[in-house]
Amino acid sequence: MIPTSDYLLLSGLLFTLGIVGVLIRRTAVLVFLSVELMLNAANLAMVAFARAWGQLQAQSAVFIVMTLAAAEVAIGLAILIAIFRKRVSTEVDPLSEMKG
Amino acid sequence: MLPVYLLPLLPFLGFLVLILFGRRFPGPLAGALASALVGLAFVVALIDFFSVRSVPMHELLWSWLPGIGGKGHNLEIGFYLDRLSSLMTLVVTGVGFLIHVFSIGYMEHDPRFPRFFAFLNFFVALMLILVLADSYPLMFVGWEGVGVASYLLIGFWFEGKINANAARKAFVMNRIGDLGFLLGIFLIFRQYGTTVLPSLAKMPIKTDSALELICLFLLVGAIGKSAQLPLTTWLADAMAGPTPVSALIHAATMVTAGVYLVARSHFFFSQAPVASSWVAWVGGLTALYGALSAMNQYDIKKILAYSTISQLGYMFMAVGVGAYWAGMYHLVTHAFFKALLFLAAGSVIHALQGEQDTRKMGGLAKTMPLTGAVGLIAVLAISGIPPFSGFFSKEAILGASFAYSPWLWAVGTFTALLTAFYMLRWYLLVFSGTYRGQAHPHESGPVMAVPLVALAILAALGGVIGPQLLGSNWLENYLKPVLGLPSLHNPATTELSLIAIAVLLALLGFLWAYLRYRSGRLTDLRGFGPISAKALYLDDLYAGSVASPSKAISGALERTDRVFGGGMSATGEVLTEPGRWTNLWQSGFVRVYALSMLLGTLLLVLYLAVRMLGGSL
Amino acid sequence: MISVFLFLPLLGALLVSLASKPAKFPLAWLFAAATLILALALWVAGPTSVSLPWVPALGLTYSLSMGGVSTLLAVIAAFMTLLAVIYAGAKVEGGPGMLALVLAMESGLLGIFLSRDLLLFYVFFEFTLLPSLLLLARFGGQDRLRALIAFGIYTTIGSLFMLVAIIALRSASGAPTFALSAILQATAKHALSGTAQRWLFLGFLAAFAVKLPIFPLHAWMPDYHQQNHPSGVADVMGTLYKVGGYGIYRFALPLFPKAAADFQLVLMALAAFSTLYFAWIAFHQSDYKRILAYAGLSHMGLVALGLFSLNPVAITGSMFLLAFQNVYTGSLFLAVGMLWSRVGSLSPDQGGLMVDAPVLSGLTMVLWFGAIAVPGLVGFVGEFSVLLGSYQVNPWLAFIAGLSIIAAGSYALFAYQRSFWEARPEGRPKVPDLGVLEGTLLGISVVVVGLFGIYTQPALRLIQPGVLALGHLIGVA
Repeated sequence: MIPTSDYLLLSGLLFTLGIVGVLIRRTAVLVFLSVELMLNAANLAMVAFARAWGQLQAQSAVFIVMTLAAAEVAIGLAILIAIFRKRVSTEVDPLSEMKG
Repeated sequence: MLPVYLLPLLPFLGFLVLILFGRRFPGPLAGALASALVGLAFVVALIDFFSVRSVPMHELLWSWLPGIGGKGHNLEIGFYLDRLSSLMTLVVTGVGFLIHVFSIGYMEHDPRFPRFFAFLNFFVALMLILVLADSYPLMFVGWEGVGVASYLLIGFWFEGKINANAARKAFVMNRIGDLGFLLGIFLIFRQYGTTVLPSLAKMPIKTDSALELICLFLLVGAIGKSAQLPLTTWLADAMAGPTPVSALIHAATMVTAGVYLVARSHFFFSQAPVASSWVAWVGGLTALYGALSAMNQYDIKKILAYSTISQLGYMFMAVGVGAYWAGMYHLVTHAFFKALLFLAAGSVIHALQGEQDTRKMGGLAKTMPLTGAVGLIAVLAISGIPPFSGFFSKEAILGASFAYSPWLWAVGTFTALLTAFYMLRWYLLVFSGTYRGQAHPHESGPVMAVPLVALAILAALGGVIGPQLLGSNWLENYLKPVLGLPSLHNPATTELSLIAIAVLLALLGFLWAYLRYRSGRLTDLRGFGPISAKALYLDDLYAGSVASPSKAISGALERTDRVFGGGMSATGEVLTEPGRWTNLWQSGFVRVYALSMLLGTLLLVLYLAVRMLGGSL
Repeated sequence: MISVFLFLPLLGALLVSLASKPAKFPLAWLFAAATLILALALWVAGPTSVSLPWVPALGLTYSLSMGGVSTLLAVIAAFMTLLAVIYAGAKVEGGPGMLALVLAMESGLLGIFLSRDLLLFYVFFEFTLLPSLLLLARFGGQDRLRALIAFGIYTTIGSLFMLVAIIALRSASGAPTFALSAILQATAKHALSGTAQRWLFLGFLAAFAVKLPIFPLHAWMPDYHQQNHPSGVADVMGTLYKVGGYGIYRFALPLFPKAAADFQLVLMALAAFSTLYFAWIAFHQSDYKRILAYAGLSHMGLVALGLFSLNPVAITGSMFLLAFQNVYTGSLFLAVGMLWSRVGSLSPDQGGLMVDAPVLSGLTMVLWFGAIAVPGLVGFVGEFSVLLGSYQVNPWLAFIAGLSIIAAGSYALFAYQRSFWEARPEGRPKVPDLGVLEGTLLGISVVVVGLFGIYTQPALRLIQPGVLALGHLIGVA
């Protein structure tokens, strides 16, 4: 049986990849992808813990996160398309007009 | 015996009808309606005059002001008709009626004809409320109400800035007096727990400093309304109104309200010797001031205005020395001859298409014989020539003031000399010699002539109600149940010599005026002339010492007040400044937000880690 | 019934805001008229009250009561709202947009007048702020942001003090709920200590002094009125919102009689000074809205003077003045709005308008005479009673406040003269006179101003029993 620490290591790696992606990528689609990556890293950590403790709460939390992620993608992509239609690019940095 | 409330109600209805539906009354109909209502009020006043000889009438209508009607009850609106107020109602409605009729002719070409009569009716109604009020607060309603009427009528031809200013000045100066009146009412309530006149009259009033103060407060009110020193300058300016207004409001009725107030409050004043002497001396000095100012005026109405101020001073002298009946006597005769003088002046102005400068008149006795004749009667009456009405009332005042203080008498008698001078000067400038203007004077029509004749008869014979030649007389006896006390009387020989001196001085005044007229120097009084023409510079004094500083202070306060507003905005600015710094953080770059989120999370994790590891930071 | 009355305008506001543009006005005036009719019906029916637990855990009750001064103020509020709604809907460009806010504000005002629970009162007190701020923000003039911020800051900070004081009061008195009657019962059993009374009184005063307003917490007022829509509709509601005097009468005085007596002299002096100071400043204004703002401030100084003098006659006069100054000040704001719609300016320097527009000029004149307390009109009854009552307590302060009647005569007639009298400058266009609707609106106000000036009984019957009870409570009757 693979020890829980290995799962956590993988999860941490994926999460770091996601963070770096969010921070350095300029295209909104890729930022999105990175966010998804982070979500799934967290999911992985949670199922690993669920197995380790032999409890199901974390499993169910993962389902909530997955539905949430799906909803987020649906709305996020819709916004992205709207932005793309307006500006013919999905770069995020120029989108700084709404600053306070 | 008719209900007293009818008296103010009738003219008030006229006011409402004419102000709301004025345009429905073509031609002179509005004037006829207004005159008829005042005439009807006169009939009511006459009927009630005979019925109140025995018992005063006191009518209560409904409760009005909270908590000051005595014993914590609400004050009721009530009318009180006794011999004193009955006399006043006769004067107000009688003279008022004649002046209404005269106005039908005088104002016939005015485009705002109905409105004029609405205002006149309004004035009569409020004046009657003033006279008939059974309590000081209700009297104050009439008091300020006639001030409003006066404001409206002085400013009747409001297109002129001078007229508008004059109206406002009259109102504001009256309000200064009104504040005194109000304070008087407050103190009366504080001392006696009620403001109802008949109840106060029955109370035992003791002489003390509070009572003196009450009387001085009331005097301030009376001074404002009757244009006495020092609140006198508005009356001359008030001549900007149409001439019938000057006759009715600024000569015969409203300005005498101050005298009426003092007489009405005789139960206070007779117990307040200090305040009464103030009344008397204010009156004496104002009589002199008015006469001096009248000496070198050129405006046909201004001469009469200053003479009104002077004559009101006589009345104040009378009520100040305790001869309340003599004050009322002169009030009545003055209403007759001064209204007559103004209407004669109005007739002249009407004939000359609005000309008011006496230097452009002269010789009008030939073209306007009736006006000239009634003018002469009025001049003789005001100058105190026997047997015209002014002679008797003026003698009554001078006699009483001699018994009070010979100095006061001396002031009054010297004023009588000046009165004769400036009144004959007025007559000679207007009616005698040759015509110096360009218009085509003509005698006025019957609508204006009839009131002139009626007033001339009254001015000539009105003295019969109270000739005080040796001993008692009808008017004094008539008013005794109200005013109570006997007034001061001189021994018969003193009285006779006083009369002789006064008549001689009046004739001397005539002679002086005539001599100057013969030598053609009636229009230039050297030396004293400019001072008199500027009315002793009182107006300039007030403009410099009160009006300008008050405006300046207002401006300064305005600026300070802006500082309050500004200070608040500055506080707001200071408070919002830190907010602006945090604004910088909200750069709009998504990745910066993400980074700050990460950093925040890291900080949290770090904190938790340290806590868990038991480290101490 | 009483709840229906209270929330009817709010319902109207919701429906009006949802309605299509042409339907807004008929709907709004129907609701405003129904509210007025209900108000009159409730007046005729006599005092009623309702008290239900609302959030028992917090001690919050839903206590309303109609009667006495509350009835008078509610009726006047309903009346003036109806005038404002009709004028806004029929004559003001863009007016239908205001209607929902005006109605919402009416509900808030009625809530203020009817609430008998301190927290409920606070809720309405703050709720009313929203529509009034929105009216200013959406329809205000160029410089409205500054006015808005000042208004918002002053009122919210003042109210915060009151909220703290309310909460502290309940715990200090040990009352089970926030209902006024409960707290009064508790304090009747165990009177609050002098120190506690003083601090709590100051907390309440902070909110009410801003809303009166009284010097030196008034700076938001002139800007508020100046920046509001020139039609005067919002100003009518703003005038009604000057509820500080009512708050002092209903809450501060009965709850903290000892503190009120302790601070009496200072507060009376402040009020008397306000009265004169504002009247004097009004003379120097060159904008009708500011003149009216300062005139209103001067009246409020008198209201405060009467209340703080703790004299029954003066308090009666204060409540009378507070109720009826809404009518003439509010109507004058409308009259100024009508003037503005004709000449396009709020400056008094017009000249000669009485020639072209005698009806507008005449009605405006009567309203001004009412406002400067010419006896026989409604303003006099209140001012006279206040001055007379306070004279019994402190003659000098009454004298200082009394000087304002001279100043009032000056500023009112000076402004009036420059607009309506004198000659019209060459080349200015002819001005149309009031139409039937506008004339009726102002005419009804003029009738009220005249009628209640001489026939005061209906109003006094509402005010005096309450003042008598208050007098027993604070021990001066």
